[in-house]
Amino acid sequence: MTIHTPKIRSWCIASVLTVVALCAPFAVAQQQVPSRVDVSWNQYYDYDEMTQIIHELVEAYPELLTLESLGKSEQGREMWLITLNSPKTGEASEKPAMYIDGNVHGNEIQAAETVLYSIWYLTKSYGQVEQLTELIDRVSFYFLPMQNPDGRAEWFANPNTPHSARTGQRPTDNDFDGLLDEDGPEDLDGDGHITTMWKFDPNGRYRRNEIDPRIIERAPEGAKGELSRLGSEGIDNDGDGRINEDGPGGYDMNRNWASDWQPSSIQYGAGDYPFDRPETNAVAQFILEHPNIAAGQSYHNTGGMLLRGPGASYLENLYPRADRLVYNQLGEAGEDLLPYYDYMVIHADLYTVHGGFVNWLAEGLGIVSFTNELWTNRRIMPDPDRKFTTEERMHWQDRMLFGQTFTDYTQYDHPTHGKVLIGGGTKYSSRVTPPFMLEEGCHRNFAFTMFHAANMPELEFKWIGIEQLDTQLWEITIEIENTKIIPTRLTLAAQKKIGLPDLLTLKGAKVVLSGTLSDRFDRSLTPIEHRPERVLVEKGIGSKGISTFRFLVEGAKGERVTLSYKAQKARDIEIEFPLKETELDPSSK
Amino acid sequence: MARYFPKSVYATAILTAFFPIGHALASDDGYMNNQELADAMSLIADSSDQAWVETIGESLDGQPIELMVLAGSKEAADLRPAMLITAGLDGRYLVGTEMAIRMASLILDEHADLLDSMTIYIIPRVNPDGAARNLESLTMGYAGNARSTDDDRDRAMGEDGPEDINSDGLITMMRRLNPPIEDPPTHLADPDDPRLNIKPDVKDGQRASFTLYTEGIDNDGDGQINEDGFGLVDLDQNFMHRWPEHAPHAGRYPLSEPESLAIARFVLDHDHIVMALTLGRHDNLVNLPESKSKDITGRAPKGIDAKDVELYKHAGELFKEATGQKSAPKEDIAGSFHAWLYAQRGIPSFATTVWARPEIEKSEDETESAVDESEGEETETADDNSGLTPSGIGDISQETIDELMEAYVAATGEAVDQSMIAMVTPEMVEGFAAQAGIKIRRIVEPEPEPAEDEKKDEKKDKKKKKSDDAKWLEYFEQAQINGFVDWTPFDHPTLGPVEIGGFIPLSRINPPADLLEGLAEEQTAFVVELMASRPQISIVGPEIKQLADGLYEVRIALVNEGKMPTSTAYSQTSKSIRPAIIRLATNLDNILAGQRISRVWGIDANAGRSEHRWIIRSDDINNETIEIIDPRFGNQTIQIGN
Repeated sequence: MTIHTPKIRSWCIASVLTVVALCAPFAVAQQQVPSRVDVSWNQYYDYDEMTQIIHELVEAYPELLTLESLGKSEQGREMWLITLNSPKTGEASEKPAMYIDGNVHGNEIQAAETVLYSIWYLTKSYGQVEQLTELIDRVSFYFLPMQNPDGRAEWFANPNTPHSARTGQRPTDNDFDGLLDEDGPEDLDGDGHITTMWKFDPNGRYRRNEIDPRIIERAPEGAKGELSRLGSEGIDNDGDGRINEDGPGGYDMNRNWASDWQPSSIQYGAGDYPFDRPETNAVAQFILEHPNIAAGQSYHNTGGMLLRGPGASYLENLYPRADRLVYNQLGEAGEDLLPYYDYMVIHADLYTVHGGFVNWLAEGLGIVSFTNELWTNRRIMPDPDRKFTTEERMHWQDRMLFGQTFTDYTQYDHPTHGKVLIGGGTKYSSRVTPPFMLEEGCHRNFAFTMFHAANMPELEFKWIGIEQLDTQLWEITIEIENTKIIPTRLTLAAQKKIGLPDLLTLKGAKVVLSGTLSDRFDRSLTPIEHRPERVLVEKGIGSKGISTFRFLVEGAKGERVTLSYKAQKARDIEIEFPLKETELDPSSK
Repeated sequence: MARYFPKSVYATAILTAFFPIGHALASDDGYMNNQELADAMSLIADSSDQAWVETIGESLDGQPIELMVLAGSKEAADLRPAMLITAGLDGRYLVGTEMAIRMASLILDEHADLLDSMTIYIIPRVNPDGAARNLESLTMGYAGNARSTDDDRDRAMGEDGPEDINSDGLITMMRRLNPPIEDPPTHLADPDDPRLNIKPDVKDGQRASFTLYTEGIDNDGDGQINEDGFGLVDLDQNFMHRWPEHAPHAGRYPLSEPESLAIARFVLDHDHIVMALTLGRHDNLVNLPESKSKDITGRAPKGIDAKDVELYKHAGELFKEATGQKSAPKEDIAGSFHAWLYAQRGIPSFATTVWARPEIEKSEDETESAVDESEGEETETADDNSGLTPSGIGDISQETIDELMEAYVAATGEAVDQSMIAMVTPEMVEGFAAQAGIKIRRIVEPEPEPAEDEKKDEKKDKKKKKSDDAKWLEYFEQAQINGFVDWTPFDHPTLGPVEIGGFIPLSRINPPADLLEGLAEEQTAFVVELMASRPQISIVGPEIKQLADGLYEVRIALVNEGKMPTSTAYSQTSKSIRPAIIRLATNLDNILAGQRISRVWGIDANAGRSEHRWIIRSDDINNETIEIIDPRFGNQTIQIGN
């Protein structure tokens, strides 16, 4: 069912449509909800184009979006950070927030489109789509589409491979010859891509495939080869006998974060110390200044994975069981929403990462965080679960992508290797989602991220019981509920004393005693020994959990008292009521 | 889990890190405050054209972090191998600063010839804010910088610091006599010397009679005394090698502080530093550093690599010969500056506390106890057990208890009855853990500052060996040093009758000022000897052998005639720093054998060699050149024919 609507602005129409939508639970088509900014989601945008769209969105949705630059990249590009918040329901900093970024690896371009899509979809949905409107009214978002602006700009502007421009663009001496970035690749055949070079070699072990000469394959046993692999396209600029060994940059900004940071001798690309790059430092300072961030997502490519920490096997036990259950609930929901994606643990299922970004969020700051590895090449095949031969894959890409991701081999006279063949997959040939499938990838990942965001903690006073023990003595029993999957404090945060404990206070009457109970029927409380009007709750309120507290206060009947519960990663709650024998059920009103 | 500091030894051990400084260290008594230090540096710089002062950073409170350069000339400073002398990371270790500044003066006066071959960088006070507080307020013992923190995490910053409640100008300790049930006694006065506090040996019939606190009141009424008074980051835990993440004073991330960042940047920008001496809390000269175990990654040494032991033995011998120092405290080096220099910058990096209590009597006891210390005081257990939370059940961590409870809930589907927990003994936990297959993680009490009462008391030998504290008292008396305040009764506003007194701890770190000159002579003698054993590269060759018409074999060797390697052995295998580059300046096509560019990751001490050989075609062999690009020893171009 599709309802075609022109520009919808009024709440009234929106709610009518919502009702219609609710009446048709089996509809599979989305409501058509137009955006004030037209964006095509079947194409990619370079740094400048994306900057343009970001500005258009911020101008079109001033009631929700604010734009700032966290600082300048190595080459002086602005690092755009978009805050999405509905001021009607409070400041962004008062609400639990989700931080979402992408493209820390310059070549992993669809990560930025996925972040941008999220902004685009949320803004157009506000006031139109009930679920998302509720979400936007409850939480805030910080979006950084391009964490590595220089890498992205480089990847689009210049000939590259699917894997190059992963790094930032600070000149670096990768081959320890005292020179910086002096031997990068060259587009020798002038086709706009860095592809592969093969050398004619009578003793080579490779040959061209007899049926499809675009495929270079290992010569079978007994057959004669004619080619040897030289590597990526380029010359030996510095005359050291090696080709392309010191190209632009040459480090990994996803190994530059403070938790389990290890030096370059142990972790390639780590930098000299955590946050020694302007890009990572800008992000780190922003995140440290926003303790309300309760959830994190950092989009990468490729492989179809929902990854969580830890990044090293020796940290496996750092994640307490209760926290792993939180991750599992979110990760498993993600597997449902993202066919062909697997929920995995970085060190166990992928590889060892020291100083990774989501590791810092999770292990350093107690933020429940994932890295989604966008896109898997299997998805282009008719049956992604079956293994396909290279020939079949080439054939299918020919039919689907019309051969666009391949440049045919041509002969080239190389200055040091003589006659060589240059050709192969272009920079779009792997890792990057084919444009016609981009929007689906954006949307499915967005849907998972919204599930993640919607499960940031939300607190309510579930039940309050007031009993009069004596003329002036009252016993107030309080249940506080977190209705979401993510606890106000991860167990890791409580163990390592990360951030501040939650704080429950009672004002308006003299507090004689306070403490915690196992539940509202528990008669004996575990008392708070000092300053009973102020209960510090190190463990927070757990995943879909209820915590019970009790105060004994002195006061006259009818005197008004105020209870407040503060948590860094949830919205604070407060309630005022008079002292009289009653039961309050604030959550059901 | 609101137990930040359980009322135990652990609590006092942490709190005594904030011990006060004695009168003896006031600036008018011979220790320099920041202004006096700046004046002293200017004076030295004005008196010599081989010395000048630069500012390399600014502290949180806006004080300059100053560097003194000693070099043959301004032009030569960057071209020669350099030694880095750093002091005053820990605000309490004022003695290091006093040494550093005197070294500058002594070297210029008596050893200026050293500057013909090396540059010396001296950063006498990395932490001017910490020093200022220690020197200007007289009463506090500030290790860290001026970062304000909420140590007790109650959303109030620095609201519960210590008070000089008996107005004697010092913050010392309080013995709470007759403590109530809620505050069970932990210590008693040592029967052998009632000035000392010991933990009871209950089997010997001893019973605790008082609890110990630092001097002050519970300003914020949370039951903890002086738990949020200072706010600080310990700069010597703020570096990258084995950074103790989440430790209370390690900083929010490595180099989070302007002071630590400034000196790290200085080192990173000066590749020619070939040796370093850090004067402060750590020692690796009296005691050989740990060389047998790896850090958590299994790839970097915890202390030093076994292949570097000879280097450290060599330096240690020079040091002991020059200073006569025989003992030094062992402190955890996780996150320290000098450990970073070694592990990640490849610099032979030495550390000394400068001063240790002189041995008063040479008894067998003391020799034994010295051995005892070197084995027993090892604190290098931080990686696995750092940041664990005490559970109150023996030394078992709350993390282990939580895991056990989770396992219980998982197995039974029932919540754990909290009242049960109170009855659990460590032995029961061991049994449960064995059943559940859970590894028990135990609290290893963090090693606090040197010579803490409780720590030493704990180690007090049953054979009635003289405790470390007793030796200090004995030394103070003999040397007539005012390092101890006798216990005097006082009526505390909330704790009732207390006695106030005890050690003035900075007096166990910093010697009486009249010893400074002599110590500086000794330390300088060590520096001079160390510099004399510096790596010295000489080039042997090139040798040319003609193999055929227009075909030559060329050989060259770099030989280190010094007694120290050009960089640590560990850096040679980890390849963690910029190598020297040997480049044959000829077309690649003419090189028939050998690399056009080769990298030298380091040359061992004592005639260690790096040999290079090429076979080249050349029309004019005498005009071929070899370029050496060496970040430590300078660049040069060698013409083969000469």
